[in-house]
Amino acid sequence: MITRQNIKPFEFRDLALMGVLSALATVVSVASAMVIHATGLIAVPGLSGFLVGLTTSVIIYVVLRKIPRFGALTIMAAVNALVVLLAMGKPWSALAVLVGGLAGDAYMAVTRGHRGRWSPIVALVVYRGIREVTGLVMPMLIGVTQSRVAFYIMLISILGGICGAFVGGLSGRSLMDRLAKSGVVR
Amino acid sequence: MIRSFLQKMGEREPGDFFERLDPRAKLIALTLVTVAASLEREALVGLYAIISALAIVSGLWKMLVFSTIGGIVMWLGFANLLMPLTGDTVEDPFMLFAGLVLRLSIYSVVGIWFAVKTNLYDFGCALEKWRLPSCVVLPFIIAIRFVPTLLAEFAAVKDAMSQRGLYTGPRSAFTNPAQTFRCFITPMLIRSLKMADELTVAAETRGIGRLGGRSYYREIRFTRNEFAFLGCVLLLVAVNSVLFRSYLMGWFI
Repeated sequence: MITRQNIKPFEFRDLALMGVLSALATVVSVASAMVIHATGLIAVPGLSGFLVGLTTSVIIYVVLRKIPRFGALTIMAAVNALVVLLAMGKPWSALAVLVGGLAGDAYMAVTRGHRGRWSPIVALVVYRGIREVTGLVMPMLIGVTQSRVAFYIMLISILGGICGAFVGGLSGRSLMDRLAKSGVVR
Repeated sequence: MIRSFLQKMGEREPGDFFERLDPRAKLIALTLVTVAASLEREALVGLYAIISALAIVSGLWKMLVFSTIGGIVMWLGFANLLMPLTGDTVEDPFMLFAGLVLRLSIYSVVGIWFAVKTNLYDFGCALEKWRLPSCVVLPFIIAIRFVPTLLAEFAAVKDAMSQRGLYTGPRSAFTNPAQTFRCFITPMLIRSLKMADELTVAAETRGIGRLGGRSYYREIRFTRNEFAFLGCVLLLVAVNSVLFRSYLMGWFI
């Protein structure tokens, strides 16, 4: 829920954490995408979306756990959108990332789930799902390809991304629980 | 490859015309070209020609060749291997080629042109001038600045894993991906959290958390150059669109 405490401006500590972890998410997603391309696994439909979703969701989960406030996911998404815009030059993909982040944050705000155990994972699934759907359906609509096969591949990619976000969220939760238990993070 | 690309992004040419332009003008041009490439299927050939000229003038012709070859390989795989295998057909084979090869090349070249020809500091200032909230601009700048640092950290973690026999090469990562990922991501996350804390302390010492306006080393504003550049891009995109539409219409009628 959006409370008075939640709408306070972010401290620099939070912004620095989001910046550094955004860089990590970018490096990890680029590295996993490169591995998938180099090994030829890109031929398996949906695997790319699954792996990239999994690896980045672990990191975004850590941010959501460290900064349990409205806006954290939106800011991460906005930074990612700017990176997408800067590196790939695709305005609608950047918009898709931003809309996904906003929707995930809105979900957590509505369900008051910033400190819950399942809400961040569902928010990650919402974020990834909207991002994949908007990012992949748009090129389809404007006719990059007109084939039936491309439509099925797109559908499998969306499902792969959603599954990746779910598994990544669970992995992130397990990792954070272990780190908290060992006293590395609070 | 990533390192060399980052190195290329880090190389600055202060005298270069495109480098001196206001990043906002470049961002508007980028949006204009990508939106035109998305909506105007008939004008893709002309847009590709415009982008090729831009790539050659900016010294990015290798990137143009690389992205075009990549697009052709993708098209060959999709149209000549996957589609015959599944018995699928398309209404217009040229549009499939244009969509996969020309459009993807336009996106990649124009994006890389923007990334290579824009100083990160100027881009941050331009985003602030556009009244983008600093809670987005600051993490973005930090994220871009930290990518090389994190790559160095990755190399250190890889060395440490090799010493302990956890990572013996790409083959071990392929045969045991879950363990490799876990062993990479855990130290990277802990290190990132520590780096964020160190950065916070350093930045607070320099007064970055202070409220109020900031001043810039370089003034970011629209001059005649920016207007001329945007005018040229707009004119080229519009003329190309009109020409190809009328040409195609005449062809079909």
